[in-house]
Amino acid sequence: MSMMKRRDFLQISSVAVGATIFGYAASQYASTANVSSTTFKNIALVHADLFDVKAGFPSVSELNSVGYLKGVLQDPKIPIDKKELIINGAVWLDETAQETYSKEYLQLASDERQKLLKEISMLRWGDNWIWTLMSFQFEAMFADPIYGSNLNQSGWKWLAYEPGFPRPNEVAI
Amino acid sequence: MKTVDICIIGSGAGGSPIAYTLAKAGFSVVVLEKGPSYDESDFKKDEIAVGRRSLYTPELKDEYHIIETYNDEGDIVRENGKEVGWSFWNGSMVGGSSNLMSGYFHRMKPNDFKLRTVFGDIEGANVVDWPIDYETLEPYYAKVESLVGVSGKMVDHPYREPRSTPDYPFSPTWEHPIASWFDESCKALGFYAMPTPRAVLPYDALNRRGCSYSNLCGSYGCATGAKGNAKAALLDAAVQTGNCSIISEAFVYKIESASKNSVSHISYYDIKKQSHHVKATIYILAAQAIESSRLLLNSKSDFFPNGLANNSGLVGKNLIFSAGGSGEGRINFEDISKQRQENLLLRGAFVNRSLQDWYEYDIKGVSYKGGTIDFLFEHANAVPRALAEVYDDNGDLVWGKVLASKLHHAFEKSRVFTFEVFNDWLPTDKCYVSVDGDDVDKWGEDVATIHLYGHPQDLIVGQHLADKAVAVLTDLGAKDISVGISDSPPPNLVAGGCRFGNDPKTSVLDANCCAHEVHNLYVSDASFMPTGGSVPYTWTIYANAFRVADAILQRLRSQNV
Repeated sequence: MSMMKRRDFLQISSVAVGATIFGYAASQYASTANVSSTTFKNIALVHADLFDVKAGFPSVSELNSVGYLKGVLQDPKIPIDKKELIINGAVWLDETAQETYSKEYLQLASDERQKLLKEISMLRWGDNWIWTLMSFQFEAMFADPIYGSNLNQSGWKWLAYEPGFPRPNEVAI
Repeated sequence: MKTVDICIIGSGAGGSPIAYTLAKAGFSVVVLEKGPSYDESDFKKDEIAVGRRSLYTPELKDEYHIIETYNDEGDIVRENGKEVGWSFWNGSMVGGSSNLMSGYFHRMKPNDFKLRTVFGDIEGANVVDWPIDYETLEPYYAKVESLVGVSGKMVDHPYREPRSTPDYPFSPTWEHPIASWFDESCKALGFYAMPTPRAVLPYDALNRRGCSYSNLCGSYGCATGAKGNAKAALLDAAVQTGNCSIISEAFVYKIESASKNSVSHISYYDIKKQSHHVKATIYILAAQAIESSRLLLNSKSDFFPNGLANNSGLVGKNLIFSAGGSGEGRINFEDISKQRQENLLLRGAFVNRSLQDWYEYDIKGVSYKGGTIDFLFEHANAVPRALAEVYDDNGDLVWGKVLASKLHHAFEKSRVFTFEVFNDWLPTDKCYVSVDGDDVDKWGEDVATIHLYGHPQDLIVGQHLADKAVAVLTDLGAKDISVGISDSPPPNLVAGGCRFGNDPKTSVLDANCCAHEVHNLYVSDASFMPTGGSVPYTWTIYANAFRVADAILQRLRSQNV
């Protein structure tokens, strides 16, 4: 199956995925990073592969970037097509891993994962998906900790970023 | 039905001076604002809510515009704003978009009021002189300086406008050390560096607190009231008179006409879509240019089948924006002295520098109306700064070690210095607002279609100014300099649609911004402007609205209504 056809198929299937993922309410923006599903396990690992702690990035758990992304998926201000892309991309990633290595993304070695990310980043959907994930990782990194991410201001401290004052005392969205 | 002397639609820079003046004079005023009301204590520096989720503007799925542009082949491309994510909304709240401005306040120059006389006709453009001159508006510019609060320092430069006072009433805000580097570069280049006047109080004054230098000003609400937004500067004082009430979350959907030359009342929806009505002696429309034209076009009646005050067919026509664009360059630690390295990352202080050397210029015997260049640091919002680093020079995504290194350099070892160019967006037949009746918003009201077109001369002038700005950045040692001059319209710098003038056949409003066809309807936002000057509009909107307020006051006192 070509990449294009696979994308078409998954856009249709994502409607069902979306209904289950987008349907619950949260008491705060970022939720706890429950990564029981393969989709979110993939995303959590991609987060770690993109913002590698060995390169100095705060860890996925310090940023709570996966919990933040779950907040994004429930955020009515985020367009539905962007939410679908986040989920679909994780599924397409696994399919590409199967095609290339006959293994799921989670089973790949670190250098294989990096090669695969590089490969998909050269494709339109892959570039779009990785950019979207990173945009929300950066939101998790720079959001006020009141959002439930950037725990202990780990993101701010990493880049010596000083927030503006007054800081928010509640999530306004 | 609520009955008052003055009913104002819109609470921003166009409506607030009239509320302030008339309420102070003892007249009853009601201000209707579509958005919510915030106190200064509500304004937080929350990048996610403000910068990433557009907290202060309507959601496009609820309220949007149809947008028509021309493609390279000259064909019209029609898009739905909610489908393509193209927003023309600004601050939807009490005080309007003045809450979110950066407060770069420049006066228009005397020749801006008579462009056609000075520069002649330009093919394809509808340039006309204003029906008033600079001298008429000057006292009101001065009034805004003292009432709204403008800080700055006058210096000599080739296009310094005449003033009735020697200097600004408030000294400049805290300036970043780069301002002196900028001055040195300009001196070397033979340019006239000028401190940028700002609608920001440097210290406590006018019953407001001074600037806290939070590092996040433009696009954010002001937590101290230092920024001269309409609410802090004027509406709060208007309400304190006891004569002015503000009804927030009130969307005016129709201005009802009583006869062939008068308004009988307005109708608005509250947040639950319950309909209410207000009757007044005089009505003021100040909903920002696009929405003001839309409301007039949607206010059809037997007397005005083409929309209120539109028997001339001119409502919505000659929409203008601020032309120009922006550019930037990065000043890197490795290229500057240790001393400058220590100063470069200083946060909070303002750059406060502009150039107006080329407000008018000649090339090969042809005279051009030029413009203004404002200089500033890249906006402090962190997410877009980080996202600017995720591609390498080949356009490939990077992450891991490479990205980490780029981020450290961007945030800790360099700073992006930017400029914004403001020049005239020439009015043309191809740039206007209409209501087509094909699409409705969440209220069920027809949305506006924005027809966009930039005259080719706008780009020529913008590029000329940008070239001068690039010379400054180069002298400052900036690297990776890029420039974006385009005909893309800045949604927060919009004017026109209801030109003022002396001839009812060629203008919607008279010289006092009263509708030629409707004796008790005024339009006091930027809609009145036939040309926009080469400066941000807000100061001129404030000043003109004070002038209109005085005209209304005179009418009411002489009972000539």
